[in-house]
Amino acid sequence: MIRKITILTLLIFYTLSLGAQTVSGIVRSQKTDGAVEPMAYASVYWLEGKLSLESNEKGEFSFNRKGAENVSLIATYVGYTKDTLKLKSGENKAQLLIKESSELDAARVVGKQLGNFLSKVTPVKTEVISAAGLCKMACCNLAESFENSASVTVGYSDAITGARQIRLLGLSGTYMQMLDENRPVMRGIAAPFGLSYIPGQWLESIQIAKGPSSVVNGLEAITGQINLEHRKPTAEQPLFLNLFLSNTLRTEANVASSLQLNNKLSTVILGHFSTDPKGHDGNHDGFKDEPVSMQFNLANRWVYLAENGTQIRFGFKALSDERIAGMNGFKKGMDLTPELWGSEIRNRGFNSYLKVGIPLSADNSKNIATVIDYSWHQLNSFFGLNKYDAIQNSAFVNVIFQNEMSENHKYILGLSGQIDNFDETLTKRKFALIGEKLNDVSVIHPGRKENSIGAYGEYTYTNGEKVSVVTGVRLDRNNIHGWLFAPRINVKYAFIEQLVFRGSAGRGFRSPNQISDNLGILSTGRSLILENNPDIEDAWTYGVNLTGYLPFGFNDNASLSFDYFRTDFNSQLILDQEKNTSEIWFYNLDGQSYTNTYQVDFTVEPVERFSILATFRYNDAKATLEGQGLVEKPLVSRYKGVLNFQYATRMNKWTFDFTAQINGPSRLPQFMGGGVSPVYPMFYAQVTKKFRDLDVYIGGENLGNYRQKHPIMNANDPYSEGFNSTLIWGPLMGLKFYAGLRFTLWK
Amino acid sequence: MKTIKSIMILTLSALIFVSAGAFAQDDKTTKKVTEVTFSIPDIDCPNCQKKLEAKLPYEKGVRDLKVDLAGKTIWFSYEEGKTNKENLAKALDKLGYPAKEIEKK
Repeated sequence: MIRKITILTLLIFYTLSLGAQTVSGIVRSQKTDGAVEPMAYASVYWLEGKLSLESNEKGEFSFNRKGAENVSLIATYVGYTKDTLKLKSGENKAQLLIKESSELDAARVVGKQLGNFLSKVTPVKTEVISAAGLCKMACCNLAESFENSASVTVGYSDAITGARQIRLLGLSGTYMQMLDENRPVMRGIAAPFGLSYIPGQWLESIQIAKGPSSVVNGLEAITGQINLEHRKPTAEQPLFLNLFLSNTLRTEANVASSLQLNNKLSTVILGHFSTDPKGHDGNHDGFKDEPVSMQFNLANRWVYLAENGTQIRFGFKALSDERIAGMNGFKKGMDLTPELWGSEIRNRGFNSYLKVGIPLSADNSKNIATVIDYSWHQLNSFFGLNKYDAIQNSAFVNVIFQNEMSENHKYILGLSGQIDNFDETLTKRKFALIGEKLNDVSVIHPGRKENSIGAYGEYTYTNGEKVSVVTGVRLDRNNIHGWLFAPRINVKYAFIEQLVFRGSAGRGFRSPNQISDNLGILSTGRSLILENNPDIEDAWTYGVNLTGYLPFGFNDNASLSFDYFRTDFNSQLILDQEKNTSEIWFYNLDGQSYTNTYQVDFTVEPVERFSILATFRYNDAKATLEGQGLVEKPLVSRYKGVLNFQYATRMNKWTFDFTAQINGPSRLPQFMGGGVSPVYPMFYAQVTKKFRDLDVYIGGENLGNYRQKHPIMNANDPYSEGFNSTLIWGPLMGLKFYAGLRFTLWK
Repeated sequence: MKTIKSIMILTLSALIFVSAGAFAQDDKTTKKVTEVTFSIPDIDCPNCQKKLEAKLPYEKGVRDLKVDLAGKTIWFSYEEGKTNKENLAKALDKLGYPAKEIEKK
């Protein structure tokens, strides 16, 4: 009906405008799903006449051209790509089409209620955890956002620092590239605690892409990429507030404020405060299970959308985090004694970025974008007698030229550069014979200055939703490791709409950081034998995926997906604790190192508002250790299964969520007694009640209260050689309850 | 610490109890329930949908609603004794989305 009226109105306008001075037109918008609708209240600019208009409710506008020969029009709307049009003399009818920009894809996706789902459109298999999914769990921070995902496993890196590490495709998170809206983040010194520095409530969605992905953001994606979408400046939520409290007295506050200053400039301010004020020792080993901590985190992000289609995004983030760990008696500022083992960890970080996108053609099919990013991170810490201080300064520049030649063909050419300056000092200390002062025994500086510059090209062929091929190459020159060449390909083919095949293959490189990648090794009594010349880690990853969409359940949208991925290392830095029991060795891989990962995911909504997600992953991770040959990687769980149920009452006034996990065994080194670790379950539950503008939630984690017994070896003798806190295969924290609220003020 | 745990458990039990009440309430079918669909031409962004879904469930008498962003419509199920179409249209208008009822075919 509305469409008919619109067409009729347009026809009348058109007839009236023939030979007249009145220019009339309509602005339409194309949604990401392709649907075209009239766009109400879009801004329309007439360049020559310096006239600014707004389209009416039906998307229409008109003005008097006052005899002007040329009429150049631009239509814009926040969150949409602009459109331009030139009318010659005598032409008085304008049709403008603006497209919903991909920046809003994530937000659109959230419109669906599913918490986790597999994206149908992307050429790379992408698992999306939407805002709905992030709200399912307390999601204090990024590390806690993957409970419903079998692809990603999160575990503690050690029993001291509270640092979490992620595993994707059975490999450490260091092999996965973390992106913040397509800027590499959480690198180097900022990595070990990085997951704790992204508050879950700041995020709009998380996209997990397995396998080698685009070459645009550098070489470092070996097992995959995790992209984080933050709350948008353009969201009409002037205030969002989240408060959280757990039974261990962990307290957290998050605040977000999205403000649109005018139709071009908007900003979002994100704040976070959290503290774990009490040392909690649930396993009674004399050590705090998680450190006493306090974190402040502040970010401010801006978007400027100019009339000519230029987009400028910039922002900064600053954080400070302090952790006091070790024996229960150890408090901040205390001196260590032969009876008191303690640790203090202080992180401070700053990041700023600028992204500029400039259209080079009227329809924005050609554009150029620049990303400039600078990070500073300082870590000052000691772990018993090991003292570690590090400062990282990193800069990243990327210039991307994109040309969409037609609907089917697109290419990207680019240049990027990265500078990393790691200034690290590792001091081994000992107790002096007289008094309790510490003396330095040895000081080493394992830091480095590394820089690389690279050129890349990527070509995409798309044929609707049927076929897409993304193929790219990258060549980088690294000051330490020389030339690095990485080809990558991702293919998607839909046999029918409901059956999609994806394949990928590619190479990735990563420069290892011996200490910061493995910070837990400082909380051991062993000596460290570092590799003098660590090779750059170099691996190929191949994968296939088959996803079927099945006509089951309430919306006929059940999905079943199979994955196989393999990562093969040509070179890798091996951390070996099994060579002997008094040293930790780092050395370059000599032999094979690989992982095979198989995964099945099934989702269904059997009745309205009730969804079930079942997923299972098996992996086989092996590496060659000196003296042992090819062996199963220690402390890597062989499988993980997740079963999640969610039920919501009408209009989501109540949401009930329950997750059960089963975690498979992992190989234990001989010095731990050999064999494998036990299989253990984990249960999570959450109930959310929605009120007007307010959500209240209460939940529990690790409801089975399962814990790894004695996670610290020789906890009773912390200054002995046998003291070791890195041998973690299970949960450190037992049953945990929490409650929280989320308040949203809408514009 | 134990007190906090007990408080948490108590609150959780209370929530479950209250939520059971929520279900029970839903089962009462004595009230007369009617449906209406409005056209809301101004809705044009996922965030607008979120706003409606956040605000409208708390209008008096609304039992259920669904927003169709692509079709620019909103469907309501409501209790006749508590509200009417005019009130719902007013509520939409107040949120910045003038609405027009779509006649049933």
